[in-house]
Amino acid sequence: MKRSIVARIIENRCISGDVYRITLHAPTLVSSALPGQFVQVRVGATVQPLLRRPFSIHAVDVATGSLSLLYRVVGEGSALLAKVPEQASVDILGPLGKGFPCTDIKGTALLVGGGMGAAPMVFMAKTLVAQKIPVRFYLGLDQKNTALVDAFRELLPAEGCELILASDSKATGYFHGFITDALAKDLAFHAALKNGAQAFACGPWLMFRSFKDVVKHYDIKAYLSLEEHMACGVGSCLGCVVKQSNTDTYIKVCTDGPVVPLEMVDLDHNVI
Amino acid sequence: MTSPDISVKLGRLSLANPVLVASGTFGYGEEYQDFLELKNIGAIITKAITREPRQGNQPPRIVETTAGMLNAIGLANVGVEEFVRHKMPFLQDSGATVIVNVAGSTLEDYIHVVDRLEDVPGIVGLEINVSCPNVKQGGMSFGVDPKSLTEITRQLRKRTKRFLIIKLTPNVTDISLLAKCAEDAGADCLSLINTLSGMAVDIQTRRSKLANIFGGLSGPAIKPVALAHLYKVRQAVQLPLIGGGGIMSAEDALEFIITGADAVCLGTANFVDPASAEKITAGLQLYCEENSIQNINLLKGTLVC
Repeated sequence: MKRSIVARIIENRCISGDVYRITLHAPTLVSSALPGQFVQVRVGATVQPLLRRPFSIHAVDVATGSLSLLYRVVGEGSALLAKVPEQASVDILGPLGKGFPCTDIKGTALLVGGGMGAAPMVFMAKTLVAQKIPVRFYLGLDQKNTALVDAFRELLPAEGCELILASDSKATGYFHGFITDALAKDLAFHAALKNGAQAFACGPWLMFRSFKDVVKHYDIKAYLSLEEHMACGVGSCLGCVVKQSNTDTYIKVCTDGPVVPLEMVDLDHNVI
Repeated sequence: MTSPDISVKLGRLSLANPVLVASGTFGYGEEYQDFLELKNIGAIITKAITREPRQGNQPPRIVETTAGMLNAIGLANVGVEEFVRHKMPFLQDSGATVIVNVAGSTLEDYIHVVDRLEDVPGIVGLEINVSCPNVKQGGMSFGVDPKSLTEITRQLRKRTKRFLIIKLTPNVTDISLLAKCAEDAGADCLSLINTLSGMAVDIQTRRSKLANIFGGLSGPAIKPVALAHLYKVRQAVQLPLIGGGGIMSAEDALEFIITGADAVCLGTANFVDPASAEKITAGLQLYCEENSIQNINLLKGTLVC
């Protein structure tokens, strides 16, 4: 049975600005978690706020049985989570959802994370490198953020994973522009990169549209990790739906996703 | 003392315990198979089933509100054919006690679904969702109009031998009147309340947070309203009653039982904790043990007034 568990907080610290990382002791959850899956977190002890908050699994450490979430304080729920002290506990449910397919990648894995969208990519990168699949991790930020980048580097594999940074504002060591432009540039300059490659994106909806243009141009198999407001997180409430392409039907982000093939999603219809 | 008896009888329907899970909050049951033993739940009320498959409303369809949430899912469901062929087999194998919720836009729609389900094994009752707009009556919901409610109950009573539950909407002036209509027209049981009509506004965008503008409010915020409606209906009819609205704990459930509910229904609680039905059932059992109550029915309707 998949029960919600009460997990002790090992660390809950501010990484930079409004971005936090919480690490929880959850060995049973960790042992079955796959990259791209998420957890539903009870951010408060009472009925206000009522609903759990979904967070993608940022990283796991099987040896210590710990799981990390990277989150931004955007509202009441995340603000409460940021205040929970270390050694206190948090009720979490998971792992939930369909993760990233990590097998069958013949070439390079191109991971594209826009801002906080990059969070689940860390777990993915570690899993791929362990399988000897080369990884290029594209991290797009609004502006240079050394603390945040360092927090990513801390968890990313030292070898086998190249980190490419992009920023909307000019900064040394960063590609100046959209992260998808950085990806396009690499694909243009290195003809062999697309061979056998698969691409994975997580981030803002507008980024998905640019991502689609790039991967279609190079005919690269691609997946999206979606994010929507959720109530249940397990496929029963039907609240987290996104329109499928070429039909009038919807898919549930929590159970049909969060990770879905790019072509499954109607990127023109869903406007945020 | 032997273990307290928490089985209940809702007229001719016997249940192992008084805790049910509400339509729209438990999918088709299979969604929760990893989280709790389905056969231990008093009864599972399925998602509303309509004649044809429905995709539901445009998103956003859910929004959290203070101690609650609004939903405007729009009766999204696979339709009765797909339900019978691909959802019922799992429920039948699971050993769960199943009540199917039925919805429609016209009386004929309801009749179609009820007829189709009549010979399907593994169903102990039907819960009729009368909160749907009656498109032949200008979109006014069946459940707010005494004549429509009487008509739909009477017609379905003629069509089916099944245990017939009418689910009352609180969005009315006098719920007792509607309750009496349903009783007089032959319902076996009433369940209440459905969601309260509500809306929410995003002050940055100045837009409604729900694409549909209106949604149904559920969760702890509605418990006082649900209890008041239950109280009124209990005074008005003799029928067994399934009470719900904001139940999150055994203590909440007891408020409904003491007020007169024969059984209780959990809804939004399932979103917060998928194992709610199990925990609340255990909580009721424990309460009876600790208070030396041999049979949970001894608590029913014991409100002092």
